[in-house]
Amino acid sequence: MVATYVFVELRQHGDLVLPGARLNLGSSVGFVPALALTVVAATVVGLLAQVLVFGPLRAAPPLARVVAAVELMIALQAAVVLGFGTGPRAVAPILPNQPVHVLGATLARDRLWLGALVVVAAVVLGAVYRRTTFGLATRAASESETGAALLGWSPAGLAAGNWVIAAVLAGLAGVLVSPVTALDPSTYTLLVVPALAAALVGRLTSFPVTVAAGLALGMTQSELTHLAATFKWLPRLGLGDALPFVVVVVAIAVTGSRLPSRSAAAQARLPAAARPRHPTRAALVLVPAAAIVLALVHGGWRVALVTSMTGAVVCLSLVVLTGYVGQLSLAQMAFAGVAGFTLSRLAQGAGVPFPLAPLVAAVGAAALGLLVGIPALRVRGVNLAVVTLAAGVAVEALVFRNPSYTGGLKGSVVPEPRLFGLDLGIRVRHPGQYPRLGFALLVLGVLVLLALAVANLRRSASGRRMLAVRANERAAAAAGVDTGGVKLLAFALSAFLAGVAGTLAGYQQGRLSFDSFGVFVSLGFLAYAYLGGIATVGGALVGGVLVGGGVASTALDRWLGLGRFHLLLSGVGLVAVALLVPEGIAGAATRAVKANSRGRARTASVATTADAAGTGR
Amino acid sequence: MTAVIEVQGLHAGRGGVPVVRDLDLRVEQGELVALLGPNGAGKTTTLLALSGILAVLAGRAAVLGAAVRAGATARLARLGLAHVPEERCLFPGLTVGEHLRLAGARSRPDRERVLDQLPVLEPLLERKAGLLSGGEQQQLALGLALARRPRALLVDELSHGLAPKLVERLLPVLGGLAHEDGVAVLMVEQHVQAALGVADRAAVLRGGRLVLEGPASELLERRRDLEAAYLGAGGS
Amino acid sequence: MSVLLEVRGLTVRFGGVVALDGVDLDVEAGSLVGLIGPNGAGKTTLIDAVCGFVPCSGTVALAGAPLHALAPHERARAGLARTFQSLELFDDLTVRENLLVPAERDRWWSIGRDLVRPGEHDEAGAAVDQALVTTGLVERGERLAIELSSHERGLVALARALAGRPRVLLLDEPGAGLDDAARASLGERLRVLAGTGMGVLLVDHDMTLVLGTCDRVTVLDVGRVIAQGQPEEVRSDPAVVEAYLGSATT
Ligand SMILES: Nc1ncnc2c1ncn2[C@@H]1O[C@H](COP(=O)(O)OP(=O)(O)OP(=O)(O)O)[C@@H](O)[C@H]1O
Ligand SMILES: [Mg+2]
Repeated sequence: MVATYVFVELRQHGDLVLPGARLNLGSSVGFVPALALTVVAATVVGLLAQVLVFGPLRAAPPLARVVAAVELMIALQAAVVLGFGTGPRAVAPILPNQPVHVLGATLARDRLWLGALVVVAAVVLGAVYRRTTFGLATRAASESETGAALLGWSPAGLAAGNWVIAAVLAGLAGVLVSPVTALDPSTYTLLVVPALAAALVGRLTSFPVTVAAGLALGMTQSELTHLAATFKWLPRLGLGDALPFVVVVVAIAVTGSRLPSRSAAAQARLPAAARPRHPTRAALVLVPAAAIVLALVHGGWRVALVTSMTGAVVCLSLVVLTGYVGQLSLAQMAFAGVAGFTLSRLAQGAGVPFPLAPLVAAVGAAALGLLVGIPALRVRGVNLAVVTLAAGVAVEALVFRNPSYTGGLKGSVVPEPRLFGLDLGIRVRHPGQYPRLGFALLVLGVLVLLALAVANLRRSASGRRMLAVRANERAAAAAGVDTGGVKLLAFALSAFLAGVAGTLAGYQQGRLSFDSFGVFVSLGFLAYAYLGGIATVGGALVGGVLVGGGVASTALDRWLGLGRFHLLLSGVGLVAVALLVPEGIAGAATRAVKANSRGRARTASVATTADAAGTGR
Repeated sequence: MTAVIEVQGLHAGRGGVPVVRDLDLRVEQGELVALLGPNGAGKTTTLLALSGILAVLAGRAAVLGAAVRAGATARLARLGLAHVPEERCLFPGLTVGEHLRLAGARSRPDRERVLDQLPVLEPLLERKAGLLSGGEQQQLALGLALARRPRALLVDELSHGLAPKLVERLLPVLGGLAHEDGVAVLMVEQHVQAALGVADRAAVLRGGRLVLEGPASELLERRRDLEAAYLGAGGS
Repeated sequence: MSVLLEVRGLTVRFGGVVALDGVDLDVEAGSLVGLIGPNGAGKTTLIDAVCGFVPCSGTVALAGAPLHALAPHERARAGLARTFQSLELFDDLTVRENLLVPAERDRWWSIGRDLVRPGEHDEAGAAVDQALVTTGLVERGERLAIELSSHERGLVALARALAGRPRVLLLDEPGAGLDDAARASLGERLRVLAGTGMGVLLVDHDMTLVLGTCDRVTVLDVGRVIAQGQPEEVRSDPAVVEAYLGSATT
C-alpha cells in the first residue's frame, strides 16, 4: 500500500499534472471539452505509464520503481520543456473567484472551492480503498503480489485500475490548481514535496489525515510568506519551503519506532552488493589508463571526463548509503552544496589553504548528514526518501537561496587550489589550454582514493554490518549490530563523500551558484547511480559516465547531436536497464563475464540445489 | 474422465534449472494425495509450478482442464484452484477479517463456515495478519483456501508451525474436503505417518524424481520400501 | 548447575491482549530447556521480550546481570543469541558473511581501519568456521543465503546464532520444515552444544525432538505456565494433553 501510494502521489502531483494542464492550456476550446480531453489524456498517460513502465517493473526491486517514477517525472518535465518552453503561463480562472469574508479574513472563493473539492475527493477515495473489495485487493497486492494472485486477483489488472484513478485525479488537480499557481514546469513538479509531506503525516494510509495535513500545510505556508513580508527579522525567503521538513520530522518523531515490528512487510530488495575481489589490482590497471586518457584529450572532452569523475564521487556516496545500508536519500546535493559554499567561505573569506579547506567543508557536510540521518533511526524505505527530499528542499530554500550565504545570482567564488606552490586549478592564463591537466589529475586522485575506500568498506566488518541492516534490521539487532549507529555512520560517510564532490565541483566551476545543488539534481543522481549499479563501486563509476555534462551526454551531443534529449533519453534508458538488468549496467557486465567462465561449474551444482528453487522466493 | 490435476513428464524449477524431472502425477476429483519425500526432493517446486508461480520447463500439466504455465496464477485461482503455500503469502498489514473477505467469504454464513473449522481465528478477526503467531498465520492461510470453496487444493506442509493437537484435528479436515465436498487435494507433508493416515494415495519424490507411489494403506504397511525411498537405494 | 538465564514475572501486553502473564523460567548452564504450548500461547513473545524486541514488565537476568536497560543489540553482545520463527536471514549476503556479522564485535570507530585495511579478524573467522562445522554447512559458506533450500536456511539461522559464541541460545522452531532424519540430527547437535556449557531454550512443535532431547520442559498456555518438569512428567500431565498434545503422542 505504501508503495502504491507514493507512486500514485508522485504522479498525482507531479508529472501527470503536466500533460493534463498542458492540454487544457494549449487550445482555446471551451472548458468542458478541455476538461474532458484532459481527463482522457491523463488516463492515457497513466495507462501508458503502467503498461510500458510500471507493469514490466512489477517484479523489479521497489527502488527501481521509485527511480523509474523519478525518471518518468524528469522525462515528462523535459518533454514539456521541449514542447512548451520554460516560461510560466497565467491561466484564466476556472472556479468562481470573487473574494469572500471568513472570520475577518478575505479569501478568494476559488480557494474555498478547491478545498471543498479536495475534501470530497479524499472522502470518496478513502471509502473506495477502505470499503470496496477492489481497494482491499489493491492494498493486498501491494503487500504480496503472489498472495493476491493466489486469491484470483490479477496484480496487473489491479495496477492498471489504480493508474487510471491516479491519473484522472492528477490531471483534474493540475487543471484546477493552474489558475492559482502560475503554470511552470518546475513549480509544478515541486508541489510533490509538500504533498508528500502531507501524505507522510497521514502515514501514507489515511486519506482524511493526509488531506487535513495538506490543507494545514498549505495555509501555514502562505501565512509564513505573509509573516516574512511583515517581520524583517525573519528570513525573507524559504520559510515556506522549509516548513514541510519541519512537519515531517515532527510527525516522524511522534510515530516511528527504532526497530520494525514483527508485522513489518518484507524489506525492499536491492540489487546485490557484489564483493569486489581485487580492488587494488583493478586500481593499478585503471588509474594509469585514465591518466593517459586525460592527458590525451583536450577541451570539452576533458571537461566531460572531469564532470564524470565528480559525478562518480556523488554516485559513490549513494553506494554507501543506498547500496550498502538501503537508506534512500534525495538530499545528496544538499550535502554537496553545503560543502561547496563552506569551501568558498573558508578559502575565499578566511583564507584557509587548499587541502584543509575542502576537508573541513566535507566534514561540515558530514555533520549535516548526521542531522538528516536522525529521522532515519525511525523511518524507513520510501518514507525516508520523502524525509530526505524534504530536507533537501529545506536546505535549498533556507541556505542556498539565501543571498547572504551564497552570493545570490552572482554566486560564490571558489579560489584555485594550490599545494606547495603547485597550481592544481582548472583555469589557465592562455584560454586554449582549459581545462588544465593538473586539476583533472587531482580529481582522478581523489576519486581513486575514495573508490578504494568504498570498495574496502564492502569487504570489511563495518560493510557487513551495513549490509546486514539493509537486509533485515531485526535480525541485525539480534546479531549485535547497533542499527541506529550504522545508519548514522552511513549518513555521515555518504554526506562526506557528497561533500567532497561538492568541493570538486566548486573548484571546477570557480563560482558556485545554488542551482547546481537543487533537489532535482539529487533526483537525477539517484537515477544515474541506479542505472550504473547502486550497490557497487564499479556501478558508481558507470553512473559517473552517465551524469549530465559527463562523457555519455557529451558523446550524445557531439556524435549524434542529441544533447537536448539527454534527460529524455536517460529516462528511457533507466526503464530499459531496470527491466533488462535490475542490478545495473556494471553488475550486468560482470555477470556476463562470469557466466562465460562458470557455465560448466553450474551444471554440476544443480543436483545439490534440489528444493532450493522451491523456497518461494 | 480426466483427472482434476494431471501432470505428465513435468520438468520444473527456477531460473531454467529443473529441480523436478519427468514427473507423472494425477489427482482425481474427491481424492486426497500425499506428496512425500526428504528435504530437497522438489515437493514445493512441484506445487509452485502447478499454480503457475514457477515455470513449467518441459512436459505438460493441467489443472481443472486448463494448461498450467508461469503467470497463470490468478486465472487458475479463478477457475477454482487454491494453494496454501510454504511461505503462506499473507498480507501483513491486512486484518484477518479482511483476508477472509478478499478470499470470498463476504457473507456471514460463508465466514461462519470457515470459523467453524478454525475457531482460533474468531477472536483475531480485527488483528493484522503480521502480528499473528506463526501457527495462527498458518491457520489463516488454510482459512483463505477454505473460504474460496476450491475445486482443487494444493497444501504445502499443513503441519508447519502447528501444535500437535491441531495437526491431529486439521489433517482430517483436508480428508473431509476431498471425500465429502469432492475437492481434489494434493498435500505435501513432512509427518509421514500422519499424512498416510488420512490420504488415499501417496507419491514419494527424491532428488526431483518419483521413486514410489501407491495407495496410502499399502504404503503404511511397506515401511521398509518407504524408508528405502527416503534414503535412496544405495543409502546415499 | 548455575542459572544463566533467569526470567521472573515476565508480562507482555499488546494493547488489550495479554500475551504473557507473569512467566517464570530458568535456563541453567549446560541444560536444554523445552518451551512448548498451543499456537499463540506466547512462546515467540517470550523470546522477543527476553531479547528486548518488545516492551515488557518483570525481570530478565543473564548470569545475574539484569538486562532491562539494554537495547536488543546490547543484549546480543552480552551473550544472548536467538533465531526467528521466520528465519530472517541476511538474504543477499553469503552464508559466511551472515555468520561473520554476529561474530565481529567491534564498534563504529573501527570504520577508520575498515576503510583502509578490510578483512576478517582471526577470532571471528574461527568462531564462524566452528559454527559452520557444527551445522554441517562448510560447503555452503560462499553461497548466498537466498540460494539455499528451506531446510538449509534453517541451519544457517542456527549457525548465525552460534557464531556470536553466545552463553544462552534461544531457538524458535528450528525443527519446522525438516524431515525426520534432519530433525534427529538437529537434536544431537543441540545436545552437543548444551554439553559445552551453553544454556539452550528450545521452542518447537515436534514432540519427538522436544521430549526426546530436553532436560526440562515448560508448557505455556494463553501466556501462563501450566506445567513444568521432566519430559516424562509433562507428557502425561492431563492439562498438557488436553491443551496441547492431543492423543497423537500419548
Ligand atoms: N504486536 C502485537 N499486537 C497484538 N497481538 C500480538 C502482537 N504480537 C503478538 N500478538 C499475539 O500474542 C499472542 C502470542 O503470540 P506468540 O507469537 O508469542 O505465540 P507463539 O506461542 O509463538 O505461537 P506459535 O506456536 O503459533 O508460534 C498471539 O495471539 C498473537 O496474535
Ligand atoms: Mg511462535
